[in-house]
This record gives sequence, C-alpha cells and structure tokens, in this order.
Amino acid sequence: MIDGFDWAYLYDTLPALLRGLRTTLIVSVIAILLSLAIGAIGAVMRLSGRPFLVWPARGYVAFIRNTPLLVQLFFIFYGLPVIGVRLSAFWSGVLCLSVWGGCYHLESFRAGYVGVSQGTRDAARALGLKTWQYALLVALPIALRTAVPSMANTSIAMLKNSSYLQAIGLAELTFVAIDRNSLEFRTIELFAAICIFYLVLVLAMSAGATRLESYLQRPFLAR
Amino acid sequence: MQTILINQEILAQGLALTLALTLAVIVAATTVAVLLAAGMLSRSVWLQWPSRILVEVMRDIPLFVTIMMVYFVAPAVGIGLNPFGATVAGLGAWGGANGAIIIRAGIKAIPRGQFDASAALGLHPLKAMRFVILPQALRPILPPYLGLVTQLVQGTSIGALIGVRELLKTAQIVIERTTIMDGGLSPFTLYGVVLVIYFLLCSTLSFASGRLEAGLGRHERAQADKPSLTRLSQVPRG
Repeated sequence: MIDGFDWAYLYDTLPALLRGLRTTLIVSVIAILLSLAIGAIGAVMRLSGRPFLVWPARGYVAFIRNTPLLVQLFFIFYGLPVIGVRLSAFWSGVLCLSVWGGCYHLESFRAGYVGVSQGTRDAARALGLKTWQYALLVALPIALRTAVPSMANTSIAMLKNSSYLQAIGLAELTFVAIDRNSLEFRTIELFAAICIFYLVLVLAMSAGATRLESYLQRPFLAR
Repeated sequence: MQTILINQEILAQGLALTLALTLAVIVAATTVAVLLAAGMLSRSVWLQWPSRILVEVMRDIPLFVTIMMVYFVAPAVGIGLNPFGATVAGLGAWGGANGAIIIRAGIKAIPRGQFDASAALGLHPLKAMRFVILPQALRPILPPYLGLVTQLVQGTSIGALIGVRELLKTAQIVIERTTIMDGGLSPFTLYGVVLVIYFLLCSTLSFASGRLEAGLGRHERAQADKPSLTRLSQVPRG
C-alpha cells in the first residue's frame, strides 16, 4: 500500500481539492456572517431583562452547546423536510453552522457587555445619555474589544466544523478527500493535503485574529 | 412516538455503546493529555518542542477530519483498527491535545514559590507534584476539563459515520427500517429524540462543571456573577 508519497497524483487532484476548498470557504464565510447576526440579536434578547426574551435565548444557548453538531445537522437536513422545511445540502450546512456559532457569539457579546465597568455606566448616566445611547455608543465599542478574541475562536471553530458537512454530501474539502479516497485509495496523499489546507487556513485566521486584537487594544484617545 | 417505543431496546443499546465509547475516550484522552502536558512542561527542549508542535497541529485539524483520517489511514499503514478503535484513537488524540492545554494552564497557574518550597523541604519532584502542586492545580483544571468531556461525549457521534453502532447510528438504523411504515415521520422524531438524549447527558455534565467552578472558586465569589470568558474560550469546539 505504501509505495512512496505520490506527488504526481497530488498534482493531478489539486484542482478538485481547490474546488472543495472554495466550497469550504464560501460556506464558512456566509455562516460566520450569519452567526454574528444571530449572536448580536440573541445577546440583545438575553440582556433585555424581559423573561419572554431572556428565556428563549438561554434555552437556545444551552441546547446548542449540549447537543452534537452532527445530530443537529442531520435533524436539519433529514428531519426538517418532514415538517415541510426543505433545504439544499449547502443551505442546511449554512443554517446548521450559523445556528451553532451564533450561540457562542451570543455568549461572547454578553460577556463583553456585562464586563463593562459600573463606573462607565454611572458616567454615561451622569452625562444624561439614554439607555440605548449608552448601549450603542459607550458599552458596545468597549464590549467588542473584550469579545473579539473568543469570537475569533468561534469563527475558527466554525471553519473547522464545516468538515462535518461531508456527512450530508456537500462537496467541501473533506468530502473531496473521502470521495476520491473511495475511488483511488490514495489515503495518505489526500489526507495529508487536506490537513495542510486546514492547518494553513486556521493558522492564517489565528494570525489575523491576533492582529485585530492588538489593533483593538490600542489606546483609542491617546493621539 | 410509537416508533420509539417499539424500538426502545435497540436505541438503549445504542445509548449504552455511546456511554462505553465515552468512557474509553475519556481514558485515552486523559492519558494522552497528561503525557503531552508533561512534555510541554518539561525543561528538555527535545521533549518540549515536539509536544508543542503536536498539540498545535492536533488542535488545528478538525476533529471530524482526525477521526476520518485515523479510520482510513490506519489500515493503509498496516494497523488494523475497527470503527470503535478508530473513534477512540481519533477522539483520544484530539481530546488529549486539548486536555494538555488545560492541564498545562492549570499547573502554570501555580506560583513558582510552591515548587521552590517543595524542593527546599526535600520533597521528591513526583511527591511535590502529588501532594503540593496537583491539589492546587485541580481548581483551575477540573471545570474546563469537564467541559472538554461534554465535547468528547458529543464527538462520539462521529463514530456513527464510520459504523460504530452508538446512539446516532441506531437511530439511523431505526429510521431506515420504519420510514415507510410511519409515513416518513421518523427522521424528525428520531433525530429529535437523539438530540434530547444528548442534551440531558451533556447538560448534566455542564451543570456539574458550573457547580464545580463555583464550589472550587468560592473564595473568589466577587467574580461569580460575571460570565467566565476564560472558561468559554478554553473549551475547544472543533
């Protein structure tokens, strides 16, 4: 089985792998944007202080965090059509990933918002700012600075978890590798290739996150 | 619901295998985690860097890919692994790398003086670890480690795709058998029931983790109301 690493084979398969990579990236980017929106809306509900908004948000977080992504995916892709919601593999994947990531973003938003000091809140009130002005203009910028690292972690995890979509037949990176492997049995070459793709993507995203973090940590007024 | 009552026996067997799989994975992951953490904390460069690189690489490759890779690559290099073994090995490696990070962070949190004092008292390094360092390090380690365990429980569901007859797989088998009989309703109810079972299992663990964090950190109660960002970011999620 092992007859040396076959570079020529890898070269021939590269176009297929790159197509898979493109799907992985498209799904992840759409899902990350949607999940940020879900997280923001959820955080507003969670922080609103109204039980009929707070409890759905809490339940959503608890449920997503404590159930496997794979089962959520199967529920969306195979279960929802039963009640008339029929989504393609692509959109099932986007929905599943963004609902999953949204719950972690929600907690990051919330943690950042709750972390704004009491003094800042008092100062805003003393200056006569209304609640929404305080929330939007004072608390949000500060909250984002503390929330960004864990939001970046969630986004990276979403990119990695897009590999789960292989299970519903979406032709992303992992799907291409497993599919080709079942036809051509070049296991080591294929898995080495996709591991390197994922490693590069994740390391690039982490590096980007670190730069964003240090940019946000700069003193804002000392100029 | 009828479908579930009729098939409760096979589903119970699936749940039992999920639990067995979880136990095996916890043992494997913890072993790997302790070894890798020891490697990362070692003073020898030859131990430190390989373990660091290994941990980084295993954390960056998706769990799903890791398990598939173990399942497909092991036979290609002449290691016979059944689906159960492949799932345990893949999840164990992934959980081990993430566990190593948690353990290392916990031990690094112990002030240097504690090590020096143990040495000054003439304690053997292993005894110092056992009686001085670990009892203190468990406080920062246990809550995120329990969080990792919930991730491992959830991760065992990937085994279904390579043929382990755990909870998700048995649900799929029941769906295949009954889908015509009950007019195509079964995917919704069965995946729904599987979600609920996992939820009950994992939220119990999450609750325990939260209680443990509150209990072990009771002298830091002032911080108790704030959501713990550290815990969120320490728990790996993919």
